[in-house]
Amino acid sequence: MRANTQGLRWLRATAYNVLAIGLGILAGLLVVMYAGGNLGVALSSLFLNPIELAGGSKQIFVRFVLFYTMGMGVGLALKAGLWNIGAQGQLLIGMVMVFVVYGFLAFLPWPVLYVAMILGAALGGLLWIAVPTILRVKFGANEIVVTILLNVVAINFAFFMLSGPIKSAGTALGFPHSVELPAKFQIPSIVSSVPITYAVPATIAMGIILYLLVERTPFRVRANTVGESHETAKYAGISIPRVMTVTMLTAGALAGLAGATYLMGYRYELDIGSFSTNYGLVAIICALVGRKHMLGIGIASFFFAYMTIGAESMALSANVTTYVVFAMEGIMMFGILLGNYLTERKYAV
Amino acid sequence: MYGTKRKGITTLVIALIVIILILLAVAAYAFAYPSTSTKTVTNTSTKTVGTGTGTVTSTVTTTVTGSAPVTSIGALKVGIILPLTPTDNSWNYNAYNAIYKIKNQTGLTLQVAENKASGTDADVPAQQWASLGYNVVIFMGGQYQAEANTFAGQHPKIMSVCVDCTVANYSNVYRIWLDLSGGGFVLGAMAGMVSHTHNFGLVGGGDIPSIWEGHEGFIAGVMYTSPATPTITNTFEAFAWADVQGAETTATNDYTNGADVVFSSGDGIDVGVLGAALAQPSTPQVWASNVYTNLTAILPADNKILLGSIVVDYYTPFFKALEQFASNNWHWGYTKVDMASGLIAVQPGPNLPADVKAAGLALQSDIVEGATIISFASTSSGAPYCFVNSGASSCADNTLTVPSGGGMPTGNMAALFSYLPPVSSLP
Amino acid sequence: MTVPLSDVLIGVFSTTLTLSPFYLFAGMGEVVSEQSGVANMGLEGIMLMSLMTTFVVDYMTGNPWVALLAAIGVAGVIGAFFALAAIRLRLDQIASGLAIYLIGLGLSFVIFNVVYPSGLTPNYIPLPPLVTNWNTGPRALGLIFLKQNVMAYVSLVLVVVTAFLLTRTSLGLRVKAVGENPKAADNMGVNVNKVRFLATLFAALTFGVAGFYFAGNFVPGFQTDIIAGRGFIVLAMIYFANWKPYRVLFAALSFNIVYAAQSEYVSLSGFGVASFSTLFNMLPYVFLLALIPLFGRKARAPKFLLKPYKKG
Repeated sequence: MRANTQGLRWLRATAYNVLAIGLGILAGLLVVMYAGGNLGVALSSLFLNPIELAGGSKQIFVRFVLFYTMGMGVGLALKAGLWNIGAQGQLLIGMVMVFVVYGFLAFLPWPVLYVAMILGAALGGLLWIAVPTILRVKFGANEIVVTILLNVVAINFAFFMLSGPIKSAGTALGFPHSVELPAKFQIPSIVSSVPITYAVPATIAMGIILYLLVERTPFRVRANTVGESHETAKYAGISIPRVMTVTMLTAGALAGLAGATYLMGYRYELDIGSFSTNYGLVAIICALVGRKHMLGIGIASFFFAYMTIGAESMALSANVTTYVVFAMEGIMMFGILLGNYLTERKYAV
Repeated sequence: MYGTKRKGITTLVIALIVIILILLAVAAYAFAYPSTSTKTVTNTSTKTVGTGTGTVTSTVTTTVTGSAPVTSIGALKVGIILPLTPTDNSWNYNAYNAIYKIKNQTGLTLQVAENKASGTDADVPAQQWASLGYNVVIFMGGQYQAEANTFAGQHPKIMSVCVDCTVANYSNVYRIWLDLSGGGFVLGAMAGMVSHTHNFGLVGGGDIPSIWEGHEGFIAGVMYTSPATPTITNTFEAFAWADVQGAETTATNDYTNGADVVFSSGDGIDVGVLGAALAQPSTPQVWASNVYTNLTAILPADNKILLGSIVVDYYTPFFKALEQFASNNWHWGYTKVDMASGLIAVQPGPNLPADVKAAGLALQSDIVEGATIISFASTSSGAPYCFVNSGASSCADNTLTVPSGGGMPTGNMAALFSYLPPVSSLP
Repeated sequence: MTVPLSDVLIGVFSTTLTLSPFYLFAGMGEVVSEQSGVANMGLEGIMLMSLMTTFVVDYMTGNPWVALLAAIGVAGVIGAFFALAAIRLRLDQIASGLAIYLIGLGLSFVIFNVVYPSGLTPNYIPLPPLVTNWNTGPRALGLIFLKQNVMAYVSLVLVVVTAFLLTRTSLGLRVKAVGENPKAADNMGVNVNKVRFLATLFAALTFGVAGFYFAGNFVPGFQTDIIAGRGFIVLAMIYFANWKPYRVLFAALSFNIVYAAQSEYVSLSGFGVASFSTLFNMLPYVFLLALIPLFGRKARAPKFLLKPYKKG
């Protein structure tokens, strides 16, 4: 009987999520129609373009890896009641670190350097979140506020690095960018004709590992308890600082790592185009849709990767600004929250 | 309790079924209106050979992609990539309106991708257009130079128009390169004449040749006509083309620090600088300039502070490029947009004193007719005209010669382009 | 560059006084809202919608006061929606705030694009300066004080009024009680959720005014994502100001002094290319972070901030 209720609850929640996403898509379609677009073209670009058009399918997997990696970090921190709004900044610092390692540790042999670049990115993200973590754990400083400030600082810092230490030698073109990673420093495709890189199975593997480490161990209960009530956690003897530190630092490292896979698996160079993205926010949405579950976030990430590409394509084909995608995401997020509320209300004790 | 639970389950199941049905309907509708992408047509025919029972199956596969040779501009499909949006009344506005005007005249198909901050971002819509069979992609900005060349290499049949670019590594890259120095010089000359405080500010975007050519031209013009030694403040800002508020603050600071003319080099900077100028009191008179669009024509309310506009004509080069493409005569094509070619003109602000306007226009016609040639050689005393304080480019004796047949430019600025891929042997 | 120091200082103070009111309006609203227990993370979304409304209405009517009313109206509608979600439905405040931010970010430019697709807009008609001929008379006085428009001074008055209301009136006590101990307040007969609703609505209205103020004083035209994170900075300022209005004033003024000073310095030192200027751009934010050891240690959030309240 209890298992049945749990299953039903999950089903209900998922149904609401689906409805919320449908609502967001509907809103986007309405905007497209109002701007004079053709419904058929809009729908086909939304649903079919991501797989049909060149580069679309590669983009899906790139974004899947990005959202999943960052989303797992956000979800983990959320379990403990901590919001990692700074994922965007950590992502950027991770990307900068890839090139810092590439440039300054170039004397290392190739396989070591390759791994060092990836680890360096994770380390960068970890260091960037270390300050908010310490401030939160030691001084109780609100991590949301500090991470938001650090996001802005990250953009300026990354620009500074791009214009100086990691700048590509030949460019003075005023739009600074780094060198382009040569082929042996890129993440290769598994099969050359299919645009899926090794990053994809690696990310899925990481998701499974985190699932086993987090969801299937007492850590899950500890984190959830900390997230729900510090009093209960203290009473249960859980070390709150330790849980908070572990979750936050992991979240930062994951965001930095996402930067490495994004750069080495897709973009191959760092330029200012990466500065003004909103991937951090979408990662939060994925974490919420995936109900903070390490595997659920994966499903949500794949879906949102597909959806954002389709929505951008739809906006492009209707000559509507791609900013409509932000509005769609916001409406979806709202719908998801509403769905969660309705589910909880039904099954509230 | 059992009854309500059963009802709950039923409602849920019904809801899910309804949702799935709706999604299926939507998907079916989507499939009924397929997007126009590359189609592979396979013809299979079976032939009986000889008297035996052997069969020969031949499969003919033809891939139909987009452009068969076209003879009319109206049949073309054009995509344009903008770094910002047309709300800047400047670079993006000019480009958008130029291509839109052509679209209205000829009926070509146009798609616009906005807010693409770099080449990698531009690649996404560009590849999409390539799959949809588009003929021309216009990359509106020097930051897309590498991407324009790479894209051209991948899609030899698509004309890759690159604006503010000087390098073509493939014959299907159409370069429209920009030299704002003449326009800057005329504006600077007028500024030197009209200023009372002999204090000038410049607010600029990235350190790219077209922008600092405009800045240097302005400074050289000021020095040409200013009766007293000028004080010059030149600021290049990070993210400048988009940082409207930063530009407005910088320009306001310049005015507070005594400048009465501020030169602005385009995009969002124009928005900020002109806003700062308009916020100044009407006396003492201050001036600001803008680039790329004729502000007198589109925003006459700005006339009271407008020193002048460097008006850049993109309609002509775009039309020329499309025409050449339509007549199959477009390889290694280029247009130089500068004062001598008549594609850049300075429109003096209507509020300027008449003698200053006249002098400026006279100087402009000198440059157009070749009587005055702008160059930035250092003076004999060793002090260059250039006040651009950047570690990247030296301003004395800057030369840049762009080969008409494609390939890397030569001159002592050529090193700026060493990051681009090598020339291909594509015909 | 021979620019006298007095001119530089005048420029810094003038810019500070021009930019600070934006943060003050939003800050006062958010202080009241957070004191009652509701944090609105979507403030930048509301500001963007109000900003867009300001420009569009001003272009159409030519009257900035009508634009102000429209901006406040739009902000109120969105704020009421947020209040409904956060208070009545008890949805997670941070998540719903972020959702509002995303909706505001997207919808503002979508609507603007529909109204002005080619980008060509008339000029924005701003509020007039406090004294029309502010440049006759003492230079420092004119540039720093008389050049600002009346809303700048309204923001300063708002700080004083908010501080007074929060600490000296029963209304303020109710607001704080609701945030510190809603159960006790409920027992005393205070309608907790109604107070929170009004506080959140007040905050949204101030965000609308902040969005209106942004137009003309920060930027003369609307671009994509033009507020660029400044709304979120307000949250940090409130935190470091320990939810006290006068400290928010200090935080806003000092943040903008640092910003204006580094902007002047970058211009005058002729750095040219942007690489070093970004280091200086970081200064205002690092400054705010550095306030943590000073004020953040004793920062005590309202006890029931972010916690929804259910009667009974």
